Amino acid sequence: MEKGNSTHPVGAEAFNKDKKRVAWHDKALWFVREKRDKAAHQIPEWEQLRELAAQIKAHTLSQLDLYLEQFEKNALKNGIHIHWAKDAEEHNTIIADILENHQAKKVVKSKSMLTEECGLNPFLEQRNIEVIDTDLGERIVQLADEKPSHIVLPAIHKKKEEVGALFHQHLHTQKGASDPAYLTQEARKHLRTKFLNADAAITGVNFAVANTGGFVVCTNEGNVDMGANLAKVHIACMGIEKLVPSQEHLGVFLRLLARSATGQPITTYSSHFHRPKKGREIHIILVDNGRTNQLAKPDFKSSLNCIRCGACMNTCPVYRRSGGHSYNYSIPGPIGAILSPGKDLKKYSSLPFASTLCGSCTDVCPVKIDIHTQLYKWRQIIGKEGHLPKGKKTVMQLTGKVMGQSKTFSMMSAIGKKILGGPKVLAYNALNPWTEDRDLPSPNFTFKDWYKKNKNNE
Amino acid sequence: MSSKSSIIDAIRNIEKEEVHLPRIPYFEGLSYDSTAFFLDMLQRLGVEVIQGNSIEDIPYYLQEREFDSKKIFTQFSELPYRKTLKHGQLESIQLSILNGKVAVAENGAIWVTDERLSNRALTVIGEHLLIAISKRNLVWNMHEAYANISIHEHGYGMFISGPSKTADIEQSLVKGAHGSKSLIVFIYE
Ligand code: SF4
Repeated sequence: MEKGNSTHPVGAEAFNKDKKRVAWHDKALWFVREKRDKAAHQIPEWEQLRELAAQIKAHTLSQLDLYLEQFEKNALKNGIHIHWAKDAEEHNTIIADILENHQAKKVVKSKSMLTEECGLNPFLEQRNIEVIDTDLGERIVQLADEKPSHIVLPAIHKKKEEVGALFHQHLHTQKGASDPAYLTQEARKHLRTKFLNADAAITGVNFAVANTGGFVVCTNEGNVDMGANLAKVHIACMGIEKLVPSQEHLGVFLRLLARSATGQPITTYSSHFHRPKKGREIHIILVDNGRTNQLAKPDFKSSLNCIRCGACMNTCPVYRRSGGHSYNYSIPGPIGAILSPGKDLKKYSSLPFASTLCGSCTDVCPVKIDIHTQLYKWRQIIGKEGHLPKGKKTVMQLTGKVMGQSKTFSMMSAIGKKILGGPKVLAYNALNPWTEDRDLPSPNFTFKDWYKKNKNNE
Repeated sequence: MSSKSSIIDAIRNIEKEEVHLPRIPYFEGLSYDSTAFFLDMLQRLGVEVIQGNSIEDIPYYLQEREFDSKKIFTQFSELPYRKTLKHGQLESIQLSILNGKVAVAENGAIWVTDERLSNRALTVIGEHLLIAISKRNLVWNMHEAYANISIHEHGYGMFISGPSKTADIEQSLVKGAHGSKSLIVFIYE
């Protein structure tokens, strides 16, 4: 969960104190975005796959009650224990109870945004349970007592020298060592002992299949398979939106996921769990925690399509220049900015404004969520409810810092022209704090032109 | 009311439009020569390829390497290596030899299952991994792959597409994160 109530402008301003780091962060993520582009362009049916993915998700969500019941029935037949949690607290309590039943004191956990959302680690630590994050990036931020700043690349904000210092302090690696290969090998040794001694493993779920009653988890490191296969108990936590009807649908999502996330054709491991090994247990926790509320909002329900690839973050000019921590929500970036207001409109009222509405997130999203439209709609709601971010001035200053050059403004207005029937609709909307005290140039070229001209400078 | 019924009821009470489930085409391959494409993909994934006639040839190819045959596990009953492990032996496995069922040319992934897998962690815990796959079981893409397997037939199954890796430290790709440090794909007739 999040620390404090800091708004995006405040967090972004803090991140922007170190200009060099901002440039470095920006470049690192843009590099990932470019890898995604190359991977996507190799697949002639890419657009068709995105459309199919969106349709499969929309269909599943339209009958989610039936699919959940079908999934439960089949998973139970497979010998998997099923639990339902309406909110974060229930999710955490169920896990604590399972662990207590097994007298489990040492837990290894692979990446799960849901457990971040629910604040599971501090909850378990308070009960004297050791929780070790085993994804290398997550382990780094855990040792640093921070939160992941990105959903796929949790430690993207950290320099290798910082990782070296952390490892020196906690894992007794050589002082001053910062070679990624060396540090990774040391982490491997350290985490192997954790895997071999763990009483239970907690994992996330990428996809759950209704008609087979099993689930799929994707990693590159292999930490899911080390953890879940070595410990006696495997607890898999999933939001109720992770379902797909049947195994043929996995083909569509597995072709999209890794290409969108890192530009790889597929993750190294795509692990399918259907039954526990004899003498072992698998538990699945089906979590609502605000998802049914989001599903009830026609304008925002497609945000539940998200497969957590991170592409919208990598492409977002604001995210790249403000860093994941500035969002102060378990899921940062454009998708976090449309999910979080559904959770707490007031607390996260600054997030939908952390965008240029350039639409790049929507363009790359493999499940075709109209992210920038939803950002705009949240702005309207936030305005109506009177939760406009207090520090509009700060937002303005930040805009200058984050966006730097006016070219992005031009881009925004061109997009505004395309989508909203004219830049002024967007620009002079009372809800847009960025236009408060400056006039926008009238765009005389289109976004495409701009993009062509500028993409090499990015 | 149980949490289950409150969640199910909440979903049921939402007015939802009917959306049809689309039919999923197989799509065409990216090249006419799937074997060449597959080999190329494996190379790009940092996978070593050995081509042989049959499973029985594997020991011949391994004799030159520095593996202690007592520390080799295999799913194949015809190979002269360990099929089961005693407590404490798992951590010192140098090589796991797995039975690939279906290989995907487009992304280099190979489907393996827990059939004759005495411990499921053997997919990742061995220092190195070898997957044997017959040329006959090569398909184009994930759609075709899923049409050829039944994911619930086995309690555990996975697509593996290379050595374990991470780029979590400054985006530098490092092989051997938690799972095998290298992958050899043995392709037989
Ligand atoms: S919203 Fe789309 S692009 Fe962003 S993480 Fe989710 S699936 Fe990926």
